[in-house]
Amino acid sequence: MTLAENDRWLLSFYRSSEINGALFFGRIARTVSAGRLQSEVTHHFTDEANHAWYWTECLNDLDASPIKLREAYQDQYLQAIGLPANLMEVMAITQVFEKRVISQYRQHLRAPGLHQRVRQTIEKIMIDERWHVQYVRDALRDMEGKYGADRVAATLARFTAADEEIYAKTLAEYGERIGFLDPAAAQIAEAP
Amino acid sequence: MPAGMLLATCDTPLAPDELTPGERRIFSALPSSGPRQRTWLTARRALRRALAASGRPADTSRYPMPNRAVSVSHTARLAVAAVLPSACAAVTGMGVDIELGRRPKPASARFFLSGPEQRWLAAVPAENQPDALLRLWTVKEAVFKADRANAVATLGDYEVAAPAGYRGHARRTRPPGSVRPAPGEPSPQETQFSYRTVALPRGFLSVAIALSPSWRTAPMQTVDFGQVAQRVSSLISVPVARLTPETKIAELVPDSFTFVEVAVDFQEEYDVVFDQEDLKALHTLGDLAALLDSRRADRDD
Repeated sequence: MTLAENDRWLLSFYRSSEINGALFFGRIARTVSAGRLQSEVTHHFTDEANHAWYWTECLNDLDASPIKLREAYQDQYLQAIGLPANLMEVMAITQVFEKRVISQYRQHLRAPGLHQRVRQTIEKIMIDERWHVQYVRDALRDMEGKYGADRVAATLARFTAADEEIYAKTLAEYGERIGFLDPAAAQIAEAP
Repeated sequence: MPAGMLLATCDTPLAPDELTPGERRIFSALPSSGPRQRTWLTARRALRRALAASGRPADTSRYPMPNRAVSVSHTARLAVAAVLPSACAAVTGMGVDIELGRRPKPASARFFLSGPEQRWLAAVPAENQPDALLRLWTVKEAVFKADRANAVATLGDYEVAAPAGYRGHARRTRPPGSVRPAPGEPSPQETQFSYRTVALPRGFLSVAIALSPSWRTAPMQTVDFGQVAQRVSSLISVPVARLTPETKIAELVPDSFTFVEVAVDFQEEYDVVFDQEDLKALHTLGDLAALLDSRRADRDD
């Protein structure tokens, strides 16, 4: 089968975002002190790298080579909210991002005519993503003693607000490539 | 800083008839025209408050300035007094300075900042330079007041170890040869200082103490620049010999991810926390060492 160019672009965008996630978490895994979080962050790093590989294989299986994209969804976070200043902010931004990823993949699973190979890849990745949200949530709870519960909550609220803006901007920029994200299109697809 | 230092502020002057005989003698020598008498009376009220809270005698004329345990500063409307409640062998002088709403002229920097301090200031983004200059002014003033051998010194005779720090150490760099210390007093070239600065809505407040040589033999643990340079070198593969306190971080790290990695690594290693404002103020490796030192001292308080 020949993958539509927009689908090829989207899967390549996923791949690029997973690669950037792996590169970022590889760096964080190097810096976190020994302990449970170090193990979890290192696991997260390997997950992101694996996801990039899954998308590469998925594209290859669909006879489509990945487009070499430089941009990734995470880049926009740094532009919008600045650099995370400490480990708590790294985990908070991760929490917000992972939730966005799950939401995006869920919507993609509902897209009409979704290829089985793409569905299989998303479902495989979603298993890991759910664990990411869970361990990061627990880590943030553990950090409340050091950073303050109010500060953690305020950081999450700030990053969530930024994420909503970034997502809206992404839709405006790439919406025509991602037809299933259009609310009207989604309604039609879900109608009995 | 010793734990128990007392600060008091006041915006209302003492009534002249409330003065003690000793205070009245000082007051009568002040020029009667202009604001000098009012600001002096306001500062004396602030000092009395701090003295009362410390349990020291409240007659402010008993504390000639510069003083081992007492200092005052004032703006046009507000006065602040700093008092060390009990004798502390580690402290040989006390200084406080407050500045609100004033901005030193940029050209004045060369008169009160050392060469390294001026170079640091030049690396600060232009929009932040007025605040940085005012902050350093208050630090220098506080340090100057804490130096009891300051008779022929100028602000430019003192240098802070890390200009970015709101907390840190300073030293006297140019001892005047004509001054001989009193018996038992440290010579000027031996004098070192510890200071802390607080940002206020329209300015800064700095408090400094002069440290006796014996105190400096057992100082609180500080972050050594050599350790910082070694760690940066291993993190980003730059020869340690190339790293100095003036090295600009932006020229070292190739991308923002690396900057985050370095920042998080140091926080994990030193068990401290930075925030976004801290990162914005980090320009050089000296700034990083000062920030680590400051945060670790805060944590240990």
